[in-house]
Amino acid sequence: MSNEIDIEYVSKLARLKLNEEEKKLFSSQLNHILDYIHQLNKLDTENIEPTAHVLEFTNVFREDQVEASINRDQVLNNAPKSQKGFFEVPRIIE
Amino acid sequence: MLRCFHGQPLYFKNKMEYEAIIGLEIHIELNSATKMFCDCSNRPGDSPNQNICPICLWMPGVFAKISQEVLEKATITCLALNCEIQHKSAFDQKVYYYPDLPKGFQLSQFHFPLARNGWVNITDEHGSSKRLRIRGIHMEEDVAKLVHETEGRKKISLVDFNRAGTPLVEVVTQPDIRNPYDAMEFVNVLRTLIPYVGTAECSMEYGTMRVDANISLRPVGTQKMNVKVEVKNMNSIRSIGDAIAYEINRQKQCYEEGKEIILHTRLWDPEREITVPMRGKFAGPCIPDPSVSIIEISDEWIKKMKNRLPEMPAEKQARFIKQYKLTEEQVLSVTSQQETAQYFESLVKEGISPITAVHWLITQLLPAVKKRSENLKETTVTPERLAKLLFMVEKENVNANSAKEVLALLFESEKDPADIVAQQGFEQISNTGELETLIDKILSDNPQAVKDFHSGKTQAVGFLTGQVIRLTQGKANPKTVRKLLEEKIK
Ligand SMILES: [Zn+2]
Repeated sequence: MSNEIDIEYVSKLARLKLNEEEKKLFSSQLNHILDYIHQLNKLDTENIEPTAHVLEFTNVFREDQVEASINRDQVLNNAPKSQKGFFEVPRIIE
Repeated sequence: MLRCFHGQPLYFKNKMEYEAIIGLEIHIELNSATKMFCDCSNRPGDSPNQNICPICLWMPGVFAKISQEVLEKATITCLALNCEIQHKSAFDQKVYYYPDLPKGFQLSQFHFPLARNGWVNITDEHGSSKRLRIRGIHMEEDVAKLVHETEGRKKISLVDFNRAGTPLVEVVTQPDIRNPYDAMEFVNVLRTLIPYVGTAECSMEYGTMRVDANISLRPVGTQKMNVKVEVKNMNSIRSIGDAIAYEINRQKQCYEEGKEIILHTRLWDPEREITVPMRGKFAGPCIPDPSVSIIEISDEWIKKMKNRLPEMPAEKQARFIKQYKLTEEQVLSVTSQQETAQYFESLVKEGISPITAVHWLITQLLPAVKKRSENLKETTVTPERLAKLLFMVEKENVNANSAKEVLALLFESEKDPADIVAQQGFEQISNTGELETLIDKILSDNPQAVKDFHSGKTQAVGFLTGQVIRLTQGKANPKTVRKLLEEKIK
């Protein structure tokens, strides 16, 4: 098994706080996944067209016809926080 | 801070000459009635979160279906910019995490864009024509809008989904641009061409067109691409030029001081006129999206879209010069916008001479329409009504000053211009008998001016002519008055 996952970095990106035990567990699991990816990378894909889509369906379109939107208050009721018709979230940028 | 003047070569301390390598990424909101993947209205909305549904709120499990109209408008935009439409294009999920994109990815075309290899011609600052290449154009959905506020000491963001899912095309240029002027011109050309084909408004002021610039420097004569810096948040053509000029100079100073340039994004601060680093966003991979269908386009369909392109500005200008015998300057003034050109041609079709039509359209009608926040398509002063008034001007039934007053009245009612002229007494007085009486009065009232004339001051005739016209409240035909005056005074 390879050992290339930087679990501190990954958990920071995923905004997850992990304890030591979890760090060990997920490092191992993620490394397993990477090993599998490495295995796939060994396949020769030289003459294979890149996959654009996983399903075989094309040109499914809608008409450009405006329909009524849904009730804002009902939607906002489902949000943890809202005000003045907006969803409220913690600020990410300074 | 030193400013980089447009087009000047950049000299480093060691006298090495450097050049700037600039590429632009331009997001343009298409003006379809609905959003890209749902039936919500594609309008900013009078209040936040007014035009929303489970699809554009990006709820799990929804089925995103692209509208035919968006594909057509995107294709026409690409054709206007001379791009090759790809027979097969598809959507990817561009992964990133940010409150303006709560589902965690943006639907965009990364691996299979709608169009590649386009170009536009610009006029550089020395007046010569230059072709700038477009690498590709792809479709993508816009994200939600964030309003940043501070409540006491708590910093919050308010999220409005009205913009979420608005259809965009992103134009990506080749790194062909070498100075801020050409970058501004490129954007200027897009801002003219795209509204011409009617697929988008392209207003930087209202954010329906947003420009990012990638900038790096390298010694002249070398081919290696150095690390680039992306600059965002420029909301006018001028600020694009200022931001790029500033950034070129900033990077030049970094090199001079031996500082390394690192790949990052900066924001243009229009108040302080500087670029400031933006906190990094985690940008993830682009993976094929399984919900939106593949788009397959036939040559026949592309031809159909090509047929919908109007006559483009360059062709129109060439035709106007030939057909209407106008100067290049006059032609540019009436062809910069599609509706102005249409209005001009309607006036000419009504029988007005091209020169009169250009003159009245550019110096009188357009400013008046703008002042009233109207537009040429909807104004009550239709080409037919204006033509009736201009006929009277051409036939000298009304003089130019009175005609300007009549024009103002045309906006106020649906009345026929001829009726307004007749009812309000705007007819030009060319009746010599009537004018002669007035001239006699002015001559006897102004003996000094008459004396001046006889002592060789010929400009006195002009003064006396003005006096007569004033007596008629501007309705006298100036040519007739002058002629009669000159005969009498001798
Ligand atoms: Zn929606």
